[in-house]
Amino acid sequence: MTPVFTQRKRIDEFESAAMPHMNDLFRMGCRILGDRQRADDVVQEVYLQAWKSFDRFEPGTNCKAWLFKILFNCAHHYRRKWFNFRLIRESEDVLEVAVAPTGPPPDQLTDKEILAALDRIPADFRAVVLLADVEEFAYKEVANILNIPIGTVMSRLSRARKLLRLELRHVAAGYGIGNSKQEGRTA
Amino acid sequence: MNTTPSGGQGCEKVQRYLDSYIQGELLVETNHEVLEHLEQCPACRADHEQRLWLRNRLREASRTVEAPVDLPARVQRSIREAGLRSAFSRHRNLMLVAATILVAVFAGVLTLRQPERIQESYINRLSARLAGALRVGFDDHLHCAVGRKFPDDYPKPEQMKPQELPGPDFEPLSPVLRKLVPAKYEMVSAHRCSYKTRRFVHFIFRNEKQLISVVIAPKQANEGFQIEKLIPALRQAGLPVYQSTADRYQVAGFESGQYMAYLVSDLPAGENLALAQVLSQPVSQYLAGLKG
Repeated sequence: MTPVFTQRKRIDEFESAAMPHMNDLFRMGCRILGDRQRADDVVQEVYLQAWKSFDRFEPGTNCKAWLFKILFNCAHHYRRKWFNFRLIRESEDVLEVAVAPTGPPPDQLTDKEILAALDRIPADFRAVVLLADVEEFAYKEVANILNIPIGTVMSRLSRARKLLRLELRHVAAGYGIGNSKQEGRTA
Repeated sequence: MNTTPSGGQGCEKVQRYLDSYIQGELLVETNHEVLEHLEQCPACRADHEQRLWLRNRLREASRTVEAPVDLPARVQRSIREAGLRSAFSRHRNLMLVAATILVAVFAGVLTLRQPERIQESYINRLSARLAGALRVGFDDHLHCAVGRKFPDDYPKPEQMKPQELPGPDFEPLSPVLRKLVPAKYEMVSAHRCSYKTRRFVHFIFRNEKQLISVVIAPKQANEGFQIEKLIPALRQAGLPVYQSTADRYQVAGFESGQYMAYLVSDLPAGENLALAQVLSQPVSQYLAGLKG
């Protein structure tokens, strides 16, 4: 039996551990679901699921990684529920061929353009690059969150970065921005 | 790994390791070699810088997205509601369990009491067939000797409390009865007992098939066979002995002084009356000698 006062204490513990990661979860939700409202729904669901399984969370382990794992599970169910989602995975070999040699991306790009470019790369790759580059998870943590091998994390991350650079070069080309200027900046 | 030479194989290897290098996932030695190569190779260094720039810009751009200001409050509210609901749900379950246990205990008590109720009903039903004066000893026989599934749960005399023993007034009657009751019946208990607030002295004999009680009860006001104008079954030396039948039981009784004495058994009616005839005089004389 869990008395009510013990339950309140437990809720406080949960909130102090989990609530600081809400913005991280929300922006990841936005990127993988493509919509703020969906992200809002899913984040609420993530916290409820996390609360229900908080007894299984080991104090001292990475709470953020645990929440992100729940987020990806919830997002998966959300897509299946609302969009009859069929995940179309592009062949990684095809992607490798499709990625042209890239030069440096232009630094005039706005945040919006960068995020739009990110949204155009395949979801599996986008998730890996977001987890590794934005949320700064280690390979092992990314592998655990997405339930894939570390080798797959590494290959997807590499290809995701190439794809992103390609997308950004297309954007830059639209502005008439060449490579030479950027090369001078980054050297 | 040798990555230091600029260009060719060294650059290819560094290119392969750059993502992991940026990620901080390389072993210390490999990390050091990549670092050495980058210091000496402008092309790889530029590539590394571009990747770092892209990662940082992506991080900056992504972090411009903020959760709605009211989302934390909504999440907290839903968690607290779910948490308290869960706690109360557990309490509700506990209450249901407690209620179930109470019902079970109540039902158990009723069930345990059921034999007593059945016994009461049985005694009342049979006793109703008898005259009031005969009921007294009959009820105690059914309640005490028959109802307790005698002799299984009867204590031996040495296990009984003093107030449960017949006491000095009635203990001398035990050997008298032993002599008078046929030897094929064993005296298995001599005790004091009570039923419906009335107290008795009770001697019980038995063999494998039959159970015999000699019950002695102090007379109460306006109580007696003669008062009820019962017709005696026989007279033994002028002492009227009354007998009646209730179901398979025979009840014989007689009075002496302040006492009424009964012989109750599941013997055939003739045998029960014959035994009562044998007992009536000695017992009557003994009871008459008591001060009451």
